[in-house]
Amino acid sequence: MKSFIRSVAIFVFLLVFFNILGILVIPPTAYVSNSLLSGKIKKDSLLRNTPSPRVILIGGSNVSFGIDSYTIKDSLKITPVNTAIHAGIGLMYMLSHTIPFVKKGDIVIISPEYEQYYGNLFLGSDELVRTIFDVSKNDYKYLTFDQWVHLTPYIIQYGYSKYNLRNLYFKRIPIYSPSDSVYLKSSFDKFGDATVHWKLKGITVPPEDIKNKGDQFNFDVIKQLKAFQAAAQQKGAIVYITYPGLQSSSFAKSVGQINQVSYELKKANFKLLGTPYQYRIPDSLCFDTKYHLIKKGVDMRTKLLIHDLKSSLAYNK
Amino acid sequence: MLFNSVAFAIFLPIIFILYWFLTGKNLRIQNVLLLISSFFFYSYWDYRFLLLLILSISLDFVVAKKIHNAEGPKKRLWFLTSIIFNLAILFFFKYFNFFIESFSSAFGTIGIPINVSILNLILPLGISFYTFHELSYITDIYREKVKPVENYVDYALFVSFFPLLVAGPIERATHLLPQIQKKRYFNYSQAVNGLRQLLWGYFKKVVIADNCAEVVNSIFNNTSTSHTGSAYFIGAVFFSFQIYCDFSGYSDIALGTARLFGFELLKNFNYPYFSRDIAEFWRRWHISLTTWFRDYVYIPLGGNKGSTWIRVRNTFLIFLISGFWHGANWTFIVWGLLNAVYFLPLLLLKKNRSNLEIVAKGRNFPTLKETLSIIITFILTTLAWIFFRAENMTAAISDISAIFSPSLITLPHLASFTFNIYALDVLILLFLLIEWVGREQNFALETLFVKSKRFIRWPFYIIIIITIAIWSKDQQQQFIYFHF
Repeated sequence: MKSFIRSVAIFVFLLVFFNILGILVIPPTAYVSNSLLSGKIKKDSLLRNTPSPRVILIGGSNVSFGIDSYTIKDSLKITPVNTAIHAGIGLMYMLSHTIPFVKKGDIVIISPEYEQYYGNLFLGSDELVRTIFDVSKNDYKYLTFDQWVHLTPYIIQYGYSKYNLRNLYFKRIPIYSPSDSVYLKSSFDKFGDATVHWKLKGITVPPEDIKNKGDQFNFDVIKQLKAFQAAAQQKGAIVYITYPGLQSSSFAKSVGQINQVSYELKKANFKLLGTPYQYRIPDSLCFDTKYHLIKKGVDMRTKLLIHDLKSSLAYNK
Repeated sequence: MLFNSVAFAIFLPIIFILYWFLTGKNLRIQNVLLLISSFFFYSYWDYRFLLLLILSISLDFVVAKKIHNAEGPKKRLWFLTSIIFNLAILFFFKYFNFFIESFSSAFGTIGIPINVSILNLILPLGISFYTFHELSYITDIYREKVKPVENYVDYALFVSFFPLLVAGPIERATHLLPQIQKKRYFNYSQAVNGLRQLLWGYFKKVVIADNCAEVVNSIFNNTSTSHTGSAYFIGAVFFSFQIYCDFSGYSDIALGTARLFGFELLKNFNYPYFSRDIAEFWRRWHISLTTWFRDYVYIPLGGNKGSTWIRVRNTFLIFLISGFWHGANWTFIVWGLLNAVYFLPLLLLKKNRSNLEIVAKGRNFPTLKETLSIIITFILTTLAWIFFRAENMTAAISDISAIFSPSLITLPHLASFTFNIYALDVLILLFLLIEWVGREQNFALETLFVKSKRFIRWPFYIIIIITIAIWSKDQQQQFIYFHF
């Protein structure tokens, strides 16, 4: 028994050693510096340098691939900063990372994917780990203990992914040619919108559920949103929550869960822009996922958002 | 608790340490610990199912003694009572809605509409497996092959031992109960072998099955994209690997886990995709269920004895029941019957026992004839799996029609898949190579590099673990057989 335990202990030690080596020592592949997640550096710079008042957009890829900030600026005469990159970064980090940048007079619009309200996606996943370790190491300070616990399997996976021969010897079959650079940091324009795909055709997107089987509504998300709202209001900013532009067929599949999101947000007295039903996007206007929109879809959603924001701002005057 | 969950990764070492270090190697305490762990493991999903499990165990524990002590018609009465009770629970939860809907539909087609409402039932996890455990025990008591267990804990552990509780292997009282009742000692090579089997099981499940599932789902679930016949065929082939690696991966994890506690469970898979005919395939696929049907249904029906008609009838009946055991859906029944049709020529030509040994035993390579036989058997099995996977008969027929369309001989549009299909192909080939090399062993990794030095062996295992980590999915993937 002793020799068994000793062998297992040595073996586990080796596994941990290789994992730590992967996490801390082996550098990320060259691809990382051009990846979509690396777009964060530019977005942080926009947050730091764009003078207030601004429209700060927070969310996952429903915002990065679904908003035309130029139209917002043109219409409201306020400069938008689109901070969104990917839903996998998790709403909690998006909020805690953005709050230090919020200033007096800012209008903050949060548009979480519906998935953020269910299960634990709001704590982050693989994309958050990669953001922290590959892009912005200092941002570890924004992570809570719960997030570290939740992210542990992703961190382990990240460490071992450095040994991934697949990245070196196999080419991922892209839907779009690499020259399209849809999922590269160069896709983001001067406001932080992903725009490269605007000139491309969409593909047929099969409808998907907005939550994984068994995931329950997570009331911690409401608490986090409340806390963010309070902190932003204290700084003199206004916080709105809106709904993502979602493919109609996916909407139909999850209408019960979407109604619950809407109900809980109303119950918590957030300032809401529009209703989930208004932000249903025809399937033909989707690009490659249920939240990513082609230019026509982006225009449709942006107009709706501007209309809702103008109405709300006028009402609150 | 899923075998591929963080919860299980914490649960297993804790139970292992408690079992070998804190029970003082006292058999009674060890069995109690395993039983409590098994109940915890099971109720981790839904505690309500645990009550049903305990009720079922308790009733059979009592009835088994009644059967043993009774004589003549009374003995038979107790036996039938238990059989009816067990099957009634299984039928109620698993088949009630199916029968109601089928009757309603059948009457509807002859112009007699019947308005019946179905029940909103949740299928208790592993019910098909533990019910068959209990049926085998009760039948063996009735046949006086075993004596009833005196200790409730021992019997409850026999039914609910956590590695086999939710998806088998379906154990026999004659095999597992003596192991439960006998003092167990830690055996280094058994434990190490268990770890190797666990590792191989996880590789099959996480790397091959879960990633094949992504390919399969993108083809068969995506009705809005028109795929070519060749893409559907590729999807079907990937499903063959998915289901094999999913279920045999589960079985390897179950057997490996049991070994850590000093138990040897029944072997459930024996390289079925290296079979040269369908009869051989069924001797190598889900062995614990196949042999269960053989011993408790086929042989009592007359088995191979009697006229050709009797043998054909029995064969069809077994495949029909086997299909139905998997679920209340016509697709499973057709899957079973299709396998019976495949089996029939072998039965009639008396060639159903011509390939008893593993292919190319003692050789490195199969002959050309063997290779062709393996490929034909695999293709036949793959076509049958389409029914097994389909939601309903309409979908199955549509998938089959799509495969046998003129576009079968065109190149599939791989660009419409959003995954790395080439790398997965390479992994499947490596997996097949390792399985081929280890095909004469209990599991593929049993002897591979075992005699090599540690500095060769361990890197090999570390590479497998890293591959598992890299290829694992963000979302936990359930095991297919949990639904049965």
